[in-house]
Amino acid sequence: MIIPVRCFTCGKVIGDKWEEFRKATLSGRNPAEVLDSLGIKRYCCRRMFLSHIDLIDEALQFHVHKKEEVNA
Amino acid sequence: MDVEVLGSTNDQLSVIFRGAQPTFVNAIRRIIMAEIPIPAIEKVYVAENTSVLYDEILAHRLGMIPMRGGETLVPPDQCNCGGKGCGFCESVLTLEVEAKEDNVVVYSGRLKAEGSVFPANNDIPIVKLNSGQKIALVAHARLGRGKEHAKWQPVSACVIKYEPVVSIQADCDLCGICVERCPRKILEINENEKKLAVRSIWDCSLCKVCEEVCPKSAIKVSYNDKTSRLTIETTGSKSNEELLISAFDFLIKKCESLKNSIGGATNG
Repeated sequence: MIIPVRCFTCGKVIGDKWEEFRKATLSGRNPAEVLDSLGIKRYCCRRMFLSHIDLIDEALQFHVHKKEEVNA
Repeated sequence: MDVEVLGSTNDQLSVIFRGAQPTFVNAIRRIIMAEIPIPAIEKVYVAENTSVLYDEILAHRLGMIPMRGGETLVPPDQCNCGGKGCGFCESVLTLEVEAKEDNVVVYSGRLKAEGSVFPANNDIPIVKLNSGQKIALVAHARLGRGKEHAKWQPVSACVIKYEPVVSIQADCDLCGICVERCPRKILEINENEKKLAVRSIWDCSLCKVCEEVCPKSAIKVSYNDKTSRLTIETTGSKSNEELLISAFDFLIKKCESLKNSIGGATNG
């Protein structure tokens, strides 16, 4: 849904690093390099980034604005 | 016992204990993980939540955010309220956000501290809102220990490693096979002295590949359990140095209480 606050396995805080990771990988950088530069060393934390899909963006599309509700 | 700080970065600290029993260093490690009290959000009162995340998910995310401060808080089990929660053992934070536009990310920095506890990290996303969506909640943080819930564990990684010992016998003929095969690349051939040398002994994983591939069996890997390296990685609630010092304080206090109770038994 949204990036977890911490790594499921070791508990390292990873939520604050997601946006930087996303921006860097979208701009074409190698994910492995980005994770190294962010200081994500263990494979438990690395898979949190590599396997994450931000589904909250999909869920947000189904939100009905209050004004539209009134019009309908 | 001899203590040496091997290296320290923002969130990680490595300390070598020479001449200490591994059980003693492990006691320090386990105290850091389970016994040092730090604050974390325990109760969340949701007044309004029209976001796409359920109240429970929101509360869980808030609980996982590392918190600083709370030095003046009383541990709930020692509080006059009996652990129910009052102004002495709990610190209040509030979060009130109404999105004016789409895709507004609410960060942990938006949590407003009413008491002494505040977020250790201001950049953790809590939720994403579209325009018109609103969150209004009150969160109560209290002190707790790692053995109660992982959110009160002040460290993510906290590990001990024995000192690896790589001994090279005189019949080594510098064939270089071990240098190539070592997965951690810790071996090198010193051209000046015509000797096989170990570059960074603490990187050795004791895998013994060098032992297996050496045609002359001239290299031996073992460990010295009288020397251990403790690596602490804080989540941000307390600094690594603070954690190490409070762990020693806690161990001393525990030993004293044991001594007192044994003394009481023999005297009485």
